[in-house]
Amino acid sequence: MNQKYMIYMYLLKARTFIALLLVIAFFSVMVPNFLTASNLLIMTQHVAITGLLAIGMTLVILTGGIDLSVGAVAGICGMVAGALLTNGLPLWNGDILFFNVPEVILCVAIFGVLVGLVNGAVITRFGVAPFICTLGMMYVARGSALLFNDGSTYPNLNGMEALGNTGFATLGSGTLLGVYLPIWLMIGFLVLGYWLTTKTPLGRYIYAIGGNESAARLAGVPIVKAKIFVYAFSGLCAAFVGLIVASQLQTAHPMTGNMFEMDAIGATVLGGTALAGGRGRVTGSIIGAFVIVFLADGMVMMGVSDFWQMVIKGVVIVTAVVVDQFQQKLQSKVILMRRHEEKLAALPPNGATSS
Amino acid sequence: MKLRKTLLTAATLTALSFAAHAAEKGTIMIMVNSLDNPYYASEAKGASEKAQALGYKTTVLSHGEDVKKQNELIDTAIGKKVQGIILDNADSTASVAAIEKAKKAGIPVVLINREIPVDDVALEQITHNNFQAGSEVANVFVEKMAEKGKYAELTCNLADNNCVTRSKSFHQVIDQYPDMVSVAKQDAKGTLIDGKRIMDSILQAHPDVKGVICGNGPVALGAIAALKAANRSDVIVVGIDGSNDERDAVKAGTLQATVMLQAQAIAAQGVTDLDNYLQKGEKPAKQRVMFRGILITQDNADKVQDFNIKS
Repeated sequence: MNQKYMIYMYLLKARTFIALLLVIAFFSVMVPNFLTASNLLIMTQHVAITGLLAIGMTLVILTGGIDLSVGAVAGICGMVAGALLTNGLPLWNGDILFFNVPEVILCVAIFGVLVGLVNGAVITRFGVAPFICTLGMMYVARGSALLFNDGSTYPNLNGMEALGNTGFATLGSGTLLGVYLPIWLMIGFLVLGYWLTTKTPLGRYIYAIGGNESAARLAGVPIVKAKIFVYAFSGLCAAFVGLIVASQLQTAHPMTGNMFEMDAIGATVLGGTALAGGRGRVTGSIIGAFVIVFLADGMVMMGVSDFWQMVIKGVVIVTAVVVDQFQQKLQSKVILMRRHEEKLAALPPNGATSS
Repeated sequence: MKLRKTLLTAATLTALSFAAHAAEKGTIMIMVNSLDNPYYASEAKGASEKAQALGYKTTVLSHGEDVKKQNELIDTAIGKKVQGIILDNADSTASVAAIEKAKKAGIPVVLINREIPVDDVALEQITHNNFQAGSEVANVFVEKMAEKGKYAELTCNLADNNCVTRSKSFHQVIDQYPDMVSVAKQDAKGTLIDGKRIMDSILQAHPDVKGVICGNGPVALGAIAALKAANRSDVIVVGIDGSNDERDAVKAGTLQATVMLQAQAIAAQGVTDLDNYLQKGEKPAKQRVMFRGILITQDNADKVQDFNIKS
């Protein structure tokens, strides 16, 4: 009886991974060329975009918050990169400062962190609900991205030899050991996110805040600092997504990242992170991102119409939460049963009849 | 880091200077889909410049393909008592009621780019000949493909009538050639990023694809980005729109052909006809007017600027 429950429990815990295996198995049968190394690499390169956002989003959601601004922040970060590469940075005395590519990337990363810091500061210092604050930031960032070049794109971000800012394409399409750089970035952020959430005191704080904020405060957890950190981290992830997309397309488009936040939240939820906070893993979110993107790309390869793709994506996300709720119920049931058994075992054999 | 001295050029607002002495003619509201798409931006620019030259003030707004927002903006226009509205509508059938409302309030509406299925509601409907545009580019596509081979089609946004028309016109031409085989048809939502993402996948599913015919410009440019990343220079790409970015791609040889839609011209024509009606009470001769798309290849790409052909 108990054994059976335990097997269900393990299956449910690994559900995102099982879903991923099912997706891969299904498309491997249905679509020739799906299970080739080059296709898996291309798809993983697509995963990197959703995955990076999902890593930042996971940390935010673990604290019980949400960051709706990531897509728009990615958009504006792409525009900042585009402006720095195309027009440079005008200084007060009429000079124009041009950066080389690593410096541009650094500037944009700092910009993303700053936007995240503003989110975190408004949420913690002024008590604005994360949903509202980041919704506002979403509009501000999108509007600003459009204002940047009057709604136009910055095309041909190849840089100029004379200005020493060539090579921006490497970030999005370059490879290291045969694997695209965005994938390495995702792996880097995954390791960083995993280490932060599981090996550091900050990680414990993040889980504690999401689990029970009042209790965490009473226990002396630095809530403000931890929260500001997660939004800044999410901003950093968004900045890299903006850079990657702009680099891949060689174009900074102000509407880049529209609805990306929804894919990131979808991936996070698919990966078993509870929207209420306190429960979830970064690794789960990455697997969630794999499921969403492999599903989308597989359907494109199969030739499924775009309208159906949306329907199927929605169904998958909601099903994931239904299964998650089921797991929660089962888990509390198993815990209760185990307590009951422990209690029975602890009682002297003859005392058991007294109740 | 490199420091460069450049001259700061002051922006000049010449357009306003000669509009100032004209008689006060009131405001024209110009409403397009989105101002971040170069096509719609040019449309708005063409209408706005023409209206200012004729002595009107202009308000440029975008409804983002949202029928509800379009309705609210038209309410605002009625409340503000504008002289007329130049509208690229959000949805062909769902926009009729809002346009009728403006007409009842005494504000003439000129529709550009997208039609509505009823007559006598809008003062005039000026559209592009999407069928001709699609056919011309499809002809070039077939020619460049040497009338045979596997190809993919990336539509721009099947929720938009114009896009459906373009797709139909592609097939009208291509289906005459039995050796042209369609291996994939996907909707890329009219955006660069979806164009690239979907083309990445199509290249994986069908590595032997020899051509891509795209429903609009951003999608074609996205497909080109995917082909570039995969080091495929043998694939024929054609599109429709004719933005400056496409012009550059045609010049660079990555885009074989595109059709330029005369966005500025239809907008300016709309304003001229609206002005005639407002000032002299003359209704345009025909309620529906179509403008040809102009085929852009390497021969004439130099002349394209902001959806206008420089002669």
